Amino acid sequence: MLGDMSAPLAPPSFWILTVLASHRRHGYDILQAAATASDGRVSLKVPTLYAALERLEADGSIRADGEEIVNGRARRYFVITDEGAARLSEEVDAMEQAARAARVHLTTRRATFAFARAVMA
Amino acid sequence: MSPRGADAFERVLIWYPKWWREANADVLLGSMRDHAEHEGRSRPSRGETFSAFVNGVALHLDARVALWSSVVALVLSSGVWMLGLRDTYAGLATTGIAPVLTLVGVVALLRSRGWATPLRSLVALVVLVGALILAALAQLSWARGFALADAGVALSGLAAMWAPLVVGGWAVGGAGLALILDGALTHTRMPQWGRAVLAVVAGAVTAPVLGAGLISPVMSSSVAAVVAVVALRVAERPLAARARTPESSPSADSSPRPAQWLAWSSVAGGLVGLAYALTGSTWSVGATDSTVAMGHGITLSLAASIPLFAATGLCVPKRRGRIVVWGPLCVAVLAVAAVAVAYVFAPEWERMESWMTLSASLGGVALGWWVTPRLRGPLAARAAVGLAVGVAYMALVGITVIPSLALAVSVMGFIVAIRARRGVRVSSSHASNEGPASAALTA
Repeated sequence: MLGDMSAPLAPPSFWILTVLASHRRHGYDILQAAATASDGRVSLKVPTLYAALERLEADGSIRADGEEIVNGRARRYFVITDEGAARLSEEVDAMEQAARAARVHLTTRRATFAFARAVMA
Repeated sequence: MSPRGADAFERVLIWYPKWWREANADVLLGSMRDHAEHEGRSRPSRGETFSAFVNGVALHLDARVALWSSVVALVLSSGVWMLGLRDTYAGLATTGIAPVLTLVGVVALLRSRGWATPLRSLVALVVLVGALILAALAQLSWARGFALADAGVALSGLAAMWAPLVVGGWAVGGAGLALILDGALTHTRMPQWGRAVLAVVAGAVTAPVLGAGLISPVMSSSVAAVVAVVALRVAERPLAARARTPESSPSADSSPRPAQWLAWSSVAGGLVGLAYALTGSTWSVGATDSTVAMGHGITLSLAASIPLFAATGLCVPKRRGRIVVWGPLCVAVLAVAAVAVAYVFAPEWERMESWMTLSASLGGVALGWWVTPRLRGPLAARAAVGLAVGVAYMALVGITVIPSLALAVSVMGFIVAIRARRGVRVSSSHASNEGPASAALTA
């Protein structure tokens, strides 16, 4: 399975790890929390969610943490592992670095335009 | 687990393998019903049904499927060849079914290793099977066109379709390979455009090679053998890791010096054989012409390779037992000896043929015997892979591999001699590091 912990996280994996970082959650709860946290940008189908959970479990980023029956429906809970948290943290660092770089370039562009406008005026 | 009925939610489970359903069906159904209830639905959405189909079907493409599809491909290719079948069905088996099974093995292996997502695996499999069909049709078109041109008849029908079939197969195969490569590259931090460009270029370059190669029994069997060996290692890795006991030091037999001497003698003998093959006709009474000299030179080189097998046996670790090292090597020596005898009769193929066939059979036994104990997994699976690899060697490449070995004896002897020399250095440095008692033992 995916053994490369330094590989970039796909958006579904990123949001699954994000919502598990704070709480132990079951499948449907992860689905809802990921949709809310990503502002609707990640909308997983249930079978795709379970495929992603299996991949993350296989590479050691998450682990199953018990099952229970609620209203006659089975729920399996998942928690993030230390490896998963470290991987998410690395991904967030990389995103922040990219965002900082983009912000610097945007600020330079704004300053250049402001200067040009001032000169033209 | 709830009893399975005709419920719309439960119907989507039919795509999943039984082992998966037994472990996960209840939680998947629970989540799907929760989601449907939240959205006011009484059945799965189209998206969910499609997602269940893709993920469920792709789960069937695992290491086990990779293993058995490649073993069947190997047996099919080599079996048809060994039985000497040349009819349409035999052609369909070797250039149609076996390559498709090999392809299924490759894609299953990639999916089970996580190098391709479920959707990408299924799409790539369909696209690449399409490319193989186009490649096979192109081959058929070429053969028909050739026959028609020979008869002086204008090309028509399939015979006239060669160019579009080749271009179509190239484009479709390139797209399939690009899809696989792009998926594998998503595990790197390469930008999306870079991945796409690299995948398309690599796909376009490799598609014709693989397309033409996979429909040949030799190439598809070689790929299938690699897939079978890797799949067996992958399928049983966790089990093997748990079951592995601490291994004793992988030391070779006694001192590496005898191995060195044996390897150098093979280098010298190989050079003599090569020199005789190239110049024997000008000075040797026994070599009446250059063809006879070449045959005798090959015999000499092959005879010179026998010490090289002994050197290899001395250098190889014996942690699985001496019999699985010396057994196959002794059979390999017999295979080489049979070819050496065959080349005494060169160029009379009628007299050479039985010796060459004997050599191919012995080579297959040696290869199968060497491979089987070095694989991991259940004995039945290991034996099947070892047998399939041995039979494929025997049927497809056995007659051509060993004669070509004659030309490489000196080079291989040189490599083994150098490696054995390093062994000497390593063992003396170990001896000096481990104190006088250890040095005395080594000496």
